[in-house]
Amino acid sequence: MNLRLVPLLAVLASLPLAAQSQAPRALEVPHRQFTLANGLTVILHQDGSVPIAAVNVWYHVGSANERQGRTGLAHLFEHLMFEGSKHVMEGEFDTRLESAGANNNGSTNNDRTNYYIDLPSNALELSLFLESDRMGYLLDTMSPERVNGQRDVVKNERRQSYENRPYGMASIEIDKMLWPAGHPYSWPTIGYMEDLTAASHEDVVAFFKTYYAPNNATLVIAGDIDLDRTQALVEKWFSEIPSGPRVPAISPPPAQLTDVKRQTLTDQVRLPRLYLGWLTPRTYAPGDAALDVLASVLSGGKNSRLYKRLVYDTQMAQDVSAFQQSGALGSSFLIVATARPGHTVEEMQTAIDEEIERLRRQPPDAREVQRAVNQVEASFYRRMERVGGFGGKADQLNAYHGAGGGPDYFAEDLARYTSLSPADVQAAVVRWLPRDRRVELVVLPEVKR
Amino acid sequence: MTVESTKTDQPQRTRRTFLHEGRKVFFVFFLMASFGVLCGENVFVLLAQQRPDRTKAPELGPAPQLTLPPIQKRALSNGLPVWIVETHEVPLVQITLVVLAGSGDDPAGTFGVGSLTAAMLDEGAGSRSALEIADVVEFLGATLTTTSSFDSSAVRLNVPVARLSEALPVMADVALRPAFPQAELDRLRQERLTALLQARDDPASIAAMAFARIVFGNTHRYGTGAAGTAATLKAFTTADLRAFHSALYQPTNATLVVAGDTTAAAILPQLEQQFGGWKATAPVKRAEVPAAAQLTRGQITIVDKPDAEQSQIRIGWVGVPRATPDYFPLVVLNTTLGGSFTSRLNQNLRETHGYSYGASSAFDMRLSSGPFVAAAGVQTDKTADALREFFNELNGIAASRSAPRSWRSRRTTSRSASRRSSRPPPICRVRSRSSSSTRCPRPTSSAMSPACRRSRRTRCRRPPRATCSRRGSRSWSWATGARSSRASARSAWAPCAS
Repeated sequence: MNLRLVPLLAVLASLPLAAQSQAPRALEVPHRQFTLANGLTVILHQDGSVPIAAVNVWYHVGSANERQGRTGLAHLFEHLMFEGSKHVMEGEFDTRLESAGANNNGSTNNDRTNYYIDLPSNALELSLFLESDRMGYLLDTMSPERVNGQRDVVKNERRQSYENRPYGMASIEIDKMLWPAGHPYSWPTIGYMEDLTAASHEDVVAFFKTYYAPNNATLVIAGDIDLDRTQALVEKWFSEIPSGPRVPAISPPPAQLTDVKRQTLTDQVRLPRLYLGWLTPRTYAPGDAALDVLASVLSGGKNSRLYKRLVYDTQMAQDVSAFQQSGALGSSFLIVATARPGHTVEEMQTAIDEEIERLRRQPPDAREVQRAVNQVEASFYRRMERVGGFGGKADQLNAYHGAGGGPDYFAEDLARYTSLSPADVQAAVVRWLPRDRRVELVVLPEVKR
Repeated sequence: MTVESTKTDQPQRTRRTFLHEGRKVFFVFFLMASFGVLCGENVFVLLAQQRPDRTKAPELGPAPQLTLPPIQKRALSNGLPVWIVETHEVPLVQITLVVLAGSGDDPAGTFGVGSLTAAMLDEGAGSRSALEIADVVEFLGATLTTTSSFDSSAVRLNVPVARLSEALPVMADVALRPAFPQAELDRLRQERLTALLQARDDPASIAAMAFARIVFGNTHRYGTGAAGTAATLKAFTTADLRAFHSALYQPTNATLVVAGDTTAAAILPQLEQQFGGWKATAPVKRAEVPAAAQLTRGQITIVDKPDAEQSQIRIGWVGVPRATPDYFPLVVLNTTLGGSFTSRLNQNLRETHGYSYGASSAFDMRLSSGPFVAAAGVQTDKTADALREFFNELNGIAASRSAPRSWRSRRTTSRSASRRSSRPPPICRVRSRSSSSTRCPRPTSSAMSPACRRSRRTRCRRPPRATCSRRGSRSWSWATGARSSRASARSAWAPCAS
C-alpha cells in the first residue's frame, strides 16, 4: 500500500497563450508526474477541449528484449493483454469498453509496447480497473489455449502484412542485412513463423514476470480529467500491484557495416524495387534530426532532390522515399525506389548516388532546409490536436518520458530541427551515408514460368 | 493515387481478368443477392488505503455533456456559402472547399475524368507551376491537397494560422484557376497507368476492384474505380479536364468550410478577397448516378493464385444510398455485424477461430446506392471454413433481429452446433489465362511520412482503420479501393505511431 507520493515534478503553470497567433505559442504540455511505491510512473495532463480522455500505458519492452528462437514473443504477448485477466472475463475487456463508447488498441515495436484506451470521461474508472487488472492479474487466467488462439491471429497478421503483401518480405530481409547476427534489431517484431509456432504458455508466463511489472511501465492519462480525482483513482487501482524484478539490460553486439552488402530477392511483383540502407545514430542522438531533414530534402515533396529527378523529371521511378528509421539502440536510413516499366534499378541507383554525392560536396540550399524544418514545426502543432490514439499527446508524453527527456519534451524536440543548418545536413551525409558501407537490396519480379 | 480499370463487358470476362497470372493470391468473391434483411477532491488517501473491490467493474458515471462550438453559416458576396467553426486550442486553420462534383459525374466513356481533374488542380495554377506551388505550400508548413470521391471533390488547406494570408491565394488559384498543363497531364497519366499495373500485385486491391465490377457491372459508374481505366486514362486531353472543371466547379455548387484558430470576423474578409470574385458561368447540371440493379442470384467468383498465404474474401451486394431512411438502423446494425472489434464477424473469424487478423463489414453509402461488403483476409487452408462462418454471421444477423448474443465462444469452450451448421453455397472455380486491364490503387510508398515509415517495425494488435496520412483518418473504400492521397501529397512526420 503506498501513500508516499513523489511531489509534482512539473509545474502546472498555465500556458502563456499568445493572444494572436502571429507568434507561435509555446509547445508546452503541462503535466503532473508522480511515482507509486511499486515503481509505476504516472503522468497526468489536463485538456478539456472535448469530454474524452486517453489512458496510455507503455511497457518498456519490445522485440529487442526477445531472445533468438522466440522472436515475435513481445508482440504475441501484446495480443494476449486483451484476452482477459483474473477479474475480467475473456472478451470482457473489449465489450465493456466498446459498450461505454471507448476504443482501444496496442502496438509493439523494437523498443516498447504501448496500449491506449480512448474513452468518454465517464468511463475513466472502468478503464483504470481494466488496465490495472491486466497489469496485476493477467496470469491468473492465462492458459495454453489462449496463447494458441492469439498465435493463430498473429500468424495471420504476419501473412497479411508480409507474405501476402507485394514487396512484403523486403523489410524483414533488409533488417537482417543491416544488423549483425544476434543483434535484436536483426529480427522482425512480428517474429519468424517458426518462432511463433514454438512460443509456449511457459514463455508467456516468464515474459510477463520479467517485463510486465509497474516498475517497467509508465501510465499517462490525458484529456478531460480532474487531476486530483484521477490521481486518487490511479492510487486506488494500481497501488496494490507488486513491483517486479529489475528488468535485465539488453547488451547488443556492436553494429557496424564495413563494406557493401548486396542481395537480390524475387517476389510476385511487376516492377523492380531498390532498397539502399545505412546504419545511423539512435533516436535523439546527434545526427538523428539532421537525417530526418535529409530525408525530407531527398524525398519530401515534388521539389525534393530524388523525387524531382527520378519521379518528376526523368520519370524513371514510380515512387521514391527516404527516411530515418529511429530506434533506441540505433537507427537505419533507407532509400526505396520503384522502377517504372522500361527502367532498371541500375539507372535509379546511379541517379540516387549522384544526388547523394552532390550533397556530400555541397550543402543543400538554405531554403530546402528551411522548407523541411517548417514542415516539421507545423507537424508538431498538428500532433497537439488530439490527446488519444497512437501519436496523440498522451502517447507522445510517454514516448518522451521513455526516451529520458522528460514527458514535456516537445519544445526541445522541435529545437533539434530548428537549430539545424545546411552544413549540418551535409555533415550527416558525409558521416552517415558512405557509399562503400551500406546494404543494397533489390527485389525483382519473379520470372514467369 | 487512385486508379483502376474497366475493360470488360461481362462479369464473366471480368473474372478472367483477375485470373490470368494467378500465383500468389487465392481470391474468393462472393455475391449473395437475397439475404432479405439488411438489413473530487482529497479522497485519494482514503481510496489508497483499501484494496479496490475487483469483484465488479466500476459503474459508468453519467455520460458527459458534449458542447460543440456552433457552426457559423455565412456567405460571400457571390453567394458562396462559408461555414466556420472556431477552435482555438492549436494555432492551425483548416479550410476546405467542397465542390459537388465527383466521379459520379463522369460521363459514360470518360470514367476517371472527375478524379483526374481534381488531381490536376495543383499541377499548375494561376501564375505558378506545379513545382512552384509545391515549394510555396511546403515552405509555409502548410498542406494543400486536392481530393475527389464518387460524390464530391475538395481542395483542402491546412496551415499554421500565422501563414494563412500567404497560403490562401495559392489555394484559390488551385481551386479556381488551374492551368491543366499538358506535360503534367502526361506525367500523371503515366503515374496512374503504372499504379494500375502495380495494383495487380496486391490481393486486396484486386479483390476490391473485382468486387465492384461484379456487383455493379461495367456500365454503371460504381462498377469502375474512381480513376477510370487504362483505356480512358490514355484518352484524356486537357480539354476534357477543363470542360469538367468549368461545368461543375462553380460557386453555386460549392461550400467553404473553415475550422480552426480564427474567427468569422478575421477570416471572412480574406475569403471574400480570394473567393468573392468567383462567378458562376452557367447553371450546374449534375449527372445522376442511377440506382444499380440488385443482384438476383448468389454467385461466386474465385481467382486462383497458387501458393498464396491468404485468401481475400469480399461478400456483398448493392447497398443503400446515404439518403436512406434506414441510415441510423443500418449504422447500428453494421456496428454489430462488422463495424467494431466486438462485432460478430470479427469475433467469429478472428477471436473464435483465428482464421484472420480481422474481419469487417461496411455500407459504402453514396448519393446513389453504393455497395455493402463484408471482408477479410484469411489463411488459405481455412478459406472454406471461413466462408462458412461468414455466412453463419450474415444469415444469423438477419434471423436473430437484435437479440442479445452471448459472448463469443472460443475454441477453449464448446461451440454450439447451430453456429456451425449452415453450409456455404457451392464454389465455382473460374480460371483464365488471359491478361487484360488493370485496376486499382495502391498507395505509393512515397506517400508515407517518415513517422509512418518508422512504424513499419511496429505491429499493432488490430489492423489500422485509417491510412497513415497527414490528413488523418481516411477510410479505405472497399469497393473502389479509392484513396485520395497522391504522390505529391506527402508530408513529414505525420503521427501514426511512435
